[in-house]
Amino acid sequence: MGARISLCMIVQNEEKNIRRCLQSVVGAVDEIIVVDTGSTDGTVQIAREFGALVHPFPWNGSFSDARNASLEPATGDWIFFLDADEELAGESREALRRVTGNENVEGYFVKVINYLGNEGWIESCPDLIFRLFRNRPDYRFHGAIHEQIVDVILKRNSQARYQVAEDLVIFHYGYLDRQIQEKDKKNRNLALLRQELAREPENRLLRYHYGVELYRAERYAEAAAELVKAASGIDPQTIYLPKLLRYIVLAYHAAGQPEEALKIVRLGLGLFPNYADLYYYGGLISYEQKNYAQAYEFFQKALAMPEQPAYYASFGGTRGFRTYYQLGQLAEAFLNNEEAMRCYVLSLRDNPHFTPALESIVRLLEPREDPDYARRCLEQLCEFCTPQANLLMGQILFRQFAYRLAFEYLERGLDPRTEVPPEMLLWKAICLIQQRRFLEALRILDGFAPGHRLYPLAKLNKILCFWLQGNRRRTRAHVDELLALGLTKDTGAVVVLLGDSLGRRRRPGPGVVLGDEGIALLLDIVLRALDLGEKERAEMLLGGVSQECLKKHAGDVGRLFFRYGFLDEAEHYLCIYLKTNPECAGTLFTLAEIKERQNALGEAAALCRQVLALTPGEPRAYVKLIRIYGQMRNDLLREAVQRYPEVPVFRRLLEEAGQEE
Amino acid sequence: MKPTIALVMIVRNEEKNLPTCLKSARNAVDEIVIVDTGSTDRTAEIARCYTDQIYHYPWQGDFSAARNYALDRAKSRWILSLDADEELDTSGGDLRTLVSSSCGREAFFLPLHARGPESGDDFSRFFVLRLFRNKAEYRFQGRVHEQVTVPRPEAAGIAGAPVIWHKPLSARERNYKRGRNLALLRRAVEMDPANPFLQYYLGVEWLGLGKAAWALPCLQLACARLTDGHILFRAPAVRSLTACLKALGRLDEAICLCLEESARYPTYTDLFFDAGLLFAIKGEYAVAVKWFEEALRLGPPPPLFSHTNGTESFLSLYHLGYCYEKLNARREAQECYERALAANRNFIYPLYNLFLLCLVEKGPREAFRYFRTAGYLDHPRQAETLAGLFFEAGFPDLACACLEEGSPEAGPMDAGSPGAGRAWLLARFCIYAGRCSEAFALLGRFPWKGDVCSGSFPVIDEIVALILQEDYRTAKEKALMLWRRPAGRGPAWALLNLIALAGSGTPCGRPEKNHEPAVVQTVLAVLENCLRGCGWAAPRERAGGPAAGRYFLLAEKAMQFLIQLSPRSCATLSSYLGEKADAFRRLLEYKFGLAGGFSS
Repeated sequence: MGARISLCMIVQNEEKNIRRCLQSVVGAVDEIIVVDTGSTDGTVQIAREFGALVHPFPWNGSFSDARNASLEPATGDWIFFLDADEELAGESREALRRVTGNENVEGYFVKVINYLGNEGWIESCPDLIFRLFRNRPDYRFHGAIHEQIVDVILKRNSQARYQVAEDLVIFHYGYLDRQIQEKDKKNRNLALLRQELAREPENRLLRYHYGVELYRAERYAEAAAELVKAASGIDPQTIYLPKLLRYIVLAYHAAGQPEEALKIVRLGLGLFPNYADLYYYGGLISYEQKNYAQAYEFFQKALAMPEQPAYYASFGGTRGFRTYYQLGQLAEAFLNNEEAMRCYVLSLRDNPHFTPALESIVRLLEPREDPDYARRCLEQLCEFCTPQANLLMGQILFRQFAYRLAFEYLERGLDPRTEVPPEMLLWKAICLIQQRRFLEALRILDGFAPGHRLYPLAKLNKILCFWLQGNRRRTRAHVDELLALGLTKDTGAVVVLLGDSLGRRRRPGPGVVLGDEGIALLLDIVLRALDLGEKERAEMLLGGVSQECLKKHAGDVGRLFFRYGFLDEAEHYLCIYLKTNPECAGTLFTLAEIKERQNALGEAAALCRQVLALTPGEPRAYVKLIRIYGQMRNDLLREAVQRYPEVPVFRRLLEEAGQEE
Repeated sequence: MKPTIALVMIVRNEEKNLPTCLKSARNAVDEIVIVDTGSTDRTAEIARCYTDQIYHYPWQGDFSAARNYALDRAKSRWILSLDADEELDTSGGDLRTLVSSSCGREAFFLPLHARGPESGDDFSRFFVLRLFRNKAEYRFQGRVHEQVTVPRPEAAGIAGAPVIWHKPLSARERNYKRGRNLALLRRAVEMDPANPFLQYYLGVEWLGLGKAAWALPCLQLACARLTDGHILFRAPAVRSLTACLKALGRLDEAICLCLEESARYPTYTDLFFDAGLLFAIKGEYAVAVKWFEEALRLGPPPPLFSHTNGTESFLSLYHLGYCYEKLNARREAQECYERALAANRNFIYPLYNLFLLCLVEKGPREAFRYFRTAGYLDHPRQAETLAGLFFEAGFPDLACACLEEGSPEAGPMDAGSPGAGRAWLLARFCIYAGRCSEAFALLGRFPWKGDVCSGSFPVIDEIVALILQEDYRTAKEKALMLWRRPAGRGPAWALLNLIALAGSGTPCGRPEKNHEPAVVQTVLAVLENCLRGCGWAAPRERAGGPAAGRYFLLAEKAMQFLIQLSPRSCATLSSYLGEKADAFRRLLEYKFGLAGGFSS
């Protein structure tokens, strides 16, 4: 007969979770003790169904007291601890039996996989927590929030040995259900921890937890200071040191002290040279500092790291999708879209739910310019078997202004039998407008009743339908209706402009002055016009804006014209902008791209050199110059082949250059 | 009372060097004895201005014999022996004080600073026995590299001053002397093959002639046989042997030698420097750093050890900076270069590295501000170097500023003075910075006269400026003037074509075949400079000077011309463009390390 195991829990109102938890341990433990700190729901009944011994214990503000109360009645040789929002992994049931058979160990760290619901996709973040230990009367929890037992066991029995039970895995769903903690709860925790720390200023672990809470409360500079204090003079064998180091890096970084963060990265790598997370964050910070050489080296190292030991509690993807994604970004900084695409695809393969990679892929495919090619690539890359997948792709494409393709995916993803979210309907209408399918668009837009919160937007798009068709009467009518709703000054001014821009004579006067809100809306409309090739209409609209105002935003206007291939107009606006901002590297670079497309390579090179002088830390101008001179050489060689057909060397050089590309 | 010190020299055909030498020493000595071994120039005449003790001694292929003949003619208590290409520098201490406090010593080693081809502080220090009592037992021995030996070592002292400066030899003189010495030495070695001194000298000559394989056995034998008692010879012999192994590509052996010898002479700075260089060549930069740092820590080596000036400071700092760059520690590298330049402002090389570091790190404008604030522009040579570098990097406006904004120690700009060279340089940079009228004003103030050194007058650039100003008539006149100079044919022909292309749009005919390379080079230079000139202005409008478009236009004409001229010029243009792309690729890789690989 092996060792007996007691599962101990403390619960309060956990009827939603506790069944999953207890089901996972049936047969894996020999008794279940549940201390209830005052449930008012079905928690206790469910626990009893599973044969648990339920002990009521009035909540006194201390997690440790409650936990210790659950230890008292335990009769097993080992104590195993779970929270109600956790579950023992099915494969770990045997491991539990096996590790408790080990005579020489007093306790185990087990792997806890936290499921996080960040930014729309689920990801897992492993951690290492002390959850399994021998049942001895003097092993008791202490600490009000982060109840701890490891240091107690060590104090009682300095010979005690711990191990990491890597194949003992607990899934933790708590972070998925609620935002980690509400703000006042955080502050309460912080206050409690501070009090405890005042009593035990030497308690390193307590200080670590305090630092982590400060970090979660977004008090980064203080967090860094406390965490550094917790780490100074620490025994390098300390099991939580890797996590502590990562927190210091994160805290310094968030506190705006990247140099300090990098110092800790280096120091940490001296101790744990295989710690992928440190390389990853080192790379991230270097990238933000525009130290691309260093970022590259860090990321490459992160990818080369072996499987991470459990006590590193490595963040998911630092050896894979996250790092690939960052390398993709790096490649884009070097204007190497091919390599960037490769990296993003690797990222997505490693984690198909990692939307940032997907979004970058879509962007690089230029779905607006070549929808069919983009569709073929996407079909190869992803499986669009669920409506959600199609909707997601539709949204991404919509954000990339690839209206035609976005429409296809939205259509596929929307189920006509169920109610369609109004935002999606609006998107569909916009996509239809951008395909000149005005009637269909209007049919959808008519569905928005005057009281609807999206009614003004729908109305505006109706106006656009008529405006784009040059229908002055209908445009005016809808403009008046929309204005009657009472718009902000800026929005109203743009709407009036729309109505007036179809007039035969331009309104005299200095033009409208628009604030940021108005300009944003105006640029949106210009974009929509240019997307449909309505260059004159766009310019007419811009003609109603005051010179001063236009000068200020000429850079953005120019870039829009450039995006849609109207090079001369783009140059015109960019040069207006450069008159007042001659040192704007971004504008100069766009101008260089225009010159390059117009085949004025000498001027393009000169502009690139100016960009280089202004932003020597950005690789793009270097890369562009390399390409421009390469292009000049190829043009020359082509002419030489024509002019001197009897000289074979030019043909050979041209072929070689072609192969290099 | 007997005169105290006699300067004793043997000379032949030294009319160029002799005045400087005698002027430097005349006040330090009481008697001058000169033995002429057969001059055919004005040597004897010059010598007569300084002394009447001039003797003739027919050359017999034996330096010692001639020198001893001269010694026999001196009446003073002490002898100072100098060569005509040497100077005595008493600024650190004079001879009379030295001999009056000789404390029973009979001879002194004096420091000899052998200047390198660079001006300034580029020299190596040796100690030579050149000051000794006028006694019969102190006589020269050896047919070549003759030396005086002092039998009792304790009778010889070491003096830190005065210093004997040795002039650098022109390549021709050096080769002549090498050949002459080699013949004498080989004969001497045949007669006395075990003599380590002769082997050492022979090894040095072979090495100097680039025959490292022949030098090797000589130097190996010298190092093995010479003892610490002959440190005067053993120290340079070890360094020559290191250099010899290095030249033969036997780096590991050279390193072993440095390791052994630095253990034997732990304060011999130069060995640590040599080792650092060897490790750097092998790419082991982290190790090299340690050796250079040790060289810096040690300071100058003790007297008697031959010493290359700077191994204890700027030379080690320069190479240390390079190693740090290779180790991607740019901040440390920058500091090393700064310290090297502060230690020796005439040692200009670190400025090139510092420039590139700053350029890619800070960008040109910030880099310029840095150089100005740090005072580099106040030193004429550094300012001119920086101006050239900014120009090469494509920032003629900053090149101008380098020359204009410093407060150089140099005197006013006069035609024919060093200031004129500076004005011409500035004019050249102005032309491509869009400031042609200023350039013309400068060139007008410091006109070119056919007789002064013509190298630095920007004659081609002046004509280019005229083309940019569309003054084709004057441009043509100037180009025709250039044509009349034999070396000016190619460039003039190129410019005449560019004038024709820019003016009427048609070229004016083919050059003679033999001028074509010069023509292509000139047009390529115009192209390069015009492309540089475009960088400074936003396209389109710019007040004053030729519009940026003019530079583009001329650049285009230059390219068009090269395409049409011949397949060869076309190929040259193609490789020029390829080289431009490569230059930016190298810059990218320098700046971004391995990440630069992303660009392709």
